[in-house]
Amino acid sequence: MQPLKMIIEGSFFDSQLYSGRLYLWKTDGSIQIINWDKLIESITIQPRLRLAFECGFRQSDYLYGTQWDLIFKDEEIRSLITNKFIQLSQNPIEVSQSLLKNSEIRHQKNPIGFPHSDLLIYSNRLYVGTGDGIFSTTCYKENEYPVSTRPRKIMDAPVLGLSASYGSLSLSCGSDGLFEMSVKNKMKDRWNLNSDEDITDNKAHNLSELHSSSSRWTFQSIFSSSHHNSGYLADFERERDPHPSNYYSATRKFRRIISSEEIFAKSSYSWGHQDKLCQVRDRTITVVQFHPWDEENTFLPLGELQLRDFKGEVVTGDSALFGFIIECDNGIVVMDSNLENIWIPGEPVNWRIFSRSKFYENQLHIVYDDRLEIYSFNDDYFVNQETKKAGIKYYEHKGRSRNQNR
Amino acid sequence: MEILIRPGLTYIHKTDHRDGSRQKSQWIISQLDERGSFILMYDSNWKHDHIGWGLHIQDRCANYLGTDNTGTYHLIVAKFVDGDRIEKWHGYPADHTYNPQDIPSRDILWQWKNMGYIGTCKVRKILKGQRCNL
Repeated sequence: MQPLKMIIEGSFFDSQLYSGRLYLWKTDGSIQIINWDKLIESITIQPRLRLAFECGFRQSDYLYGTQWDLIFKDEEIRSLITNKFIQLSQNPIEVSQSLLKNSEIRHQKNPIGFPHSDLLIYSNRLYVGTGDGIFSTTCYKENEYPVSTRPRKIMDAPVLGLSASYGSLSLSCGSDGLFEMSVKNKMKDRWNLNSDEDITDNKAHNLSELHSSSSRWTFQSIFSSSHHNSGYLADFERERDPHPSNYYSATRKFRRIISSEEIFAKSSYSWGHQDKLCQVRDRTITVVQFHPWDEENTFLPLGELQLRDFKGEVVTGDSALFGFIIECDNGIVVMDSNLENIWIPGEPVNWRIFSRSKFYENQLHIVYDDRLEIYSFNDDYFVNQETKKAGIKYYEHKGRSRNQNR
Repeated sequence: MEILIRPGLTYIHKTDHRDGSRQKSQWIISQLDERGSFILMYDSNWKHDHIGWGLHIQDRCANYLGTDNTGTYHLIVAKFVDGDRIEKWHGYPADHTYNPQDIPSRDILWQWKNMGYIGTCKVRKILKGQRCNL
């Protein structure tokens, strides 16, 4: 099934979708903040396709989970829902500048250096990695400026890539290696403060001196990717705690660095995210499932997947629920969780997925020179999560709930 | 080899970036073009604190100017250094994928983008330390 596609015209450098807001970093150095829910509601769609549209663009969690198992076993219902997605995918949804403007919350100056190397929003705080270090500021909905104009520099060293989980940032710092920085704010946790004041210690700890270009969390561990080595896993164990669901405060203990060669028995560009570790070599992705809690089958080989569309050399790779995403010199190939290849031609300005999100984890944002293209993948709801080879596994216990506030 | 570019400004061609030395990136452009890249950098003021950043411009676009220290892939950015701060510069092909210190400052990258020498896609790839094939 082809993904849904939305096109927003404009000259952007990056995008983020967080908590009902679309943040657009524009090439003029400003940030445009859009009320995403309002924008989605304002787009005219045939009523019979509204369910697919809503699930596709602002509530990806709706069709996930076991609550629909009984209904999805019914072939007619499954076919009906699939057909709605197929019909909606026939034509891209184009968002005009005036429609975008109608949903604009604010268009503000970027308070942090531009252009950045990477950024993310974690616990209502924006972290921006640049050649001058990492800057942090808040983006609470109550703020007058959606991106607070009082950023703070929290690290001096140049950063190429950021990723967040377990109350920490993983920091890829090129030849300086892989670092981790705690961004837990114990006072805020305790008192639920919405202040701009940051009272974390923000100390960065070196996990490995091996080269790191990007990194992703694999449960409590971190996988580092680079073209100067084959990648490696900074392996952590998670200590038992009395409240196992509260992963934010879970205690982690570093075990060791595990090289990609040890995991895949081969050398080539690799990446990992949650339960899937991938290595790409020529036109083949070797997939290993990571079970950190299983000492006998910690690295379970799932086999090789053949890429059909693959042009140029690999630039970088990532994994989402809906599949694997590989950027090549001249475009992006998505191997979705049904093992279909979707080739998206053209060199992107930027792209990102939202794997930590509850509602947008099916989306792939690709920025081109004159537009943002938002792809929504909707096959994975119907894929057996236990046996899937492409894409990370959906875990119901992640605390996802349709009733949670966005 | 020292070349007097103009009174008070000297450029030194380093041999180890042309002789296949291990652990050294290698120029693939002529010495004349290397100096051309330096002069463009100097006259355009693409520098901060005696460190400059250059491109090899052909047909108004950046072109490859070197290879990494293993000869595996091509490089498009040159780094120039006036180590003693006496206007005696030398340079080498900068491997932005390896060392963050070999990534030009973002304001210079953005100038290159605005002048049409590199696209915004390349700005992102350089800033992230990603390979940058033309």
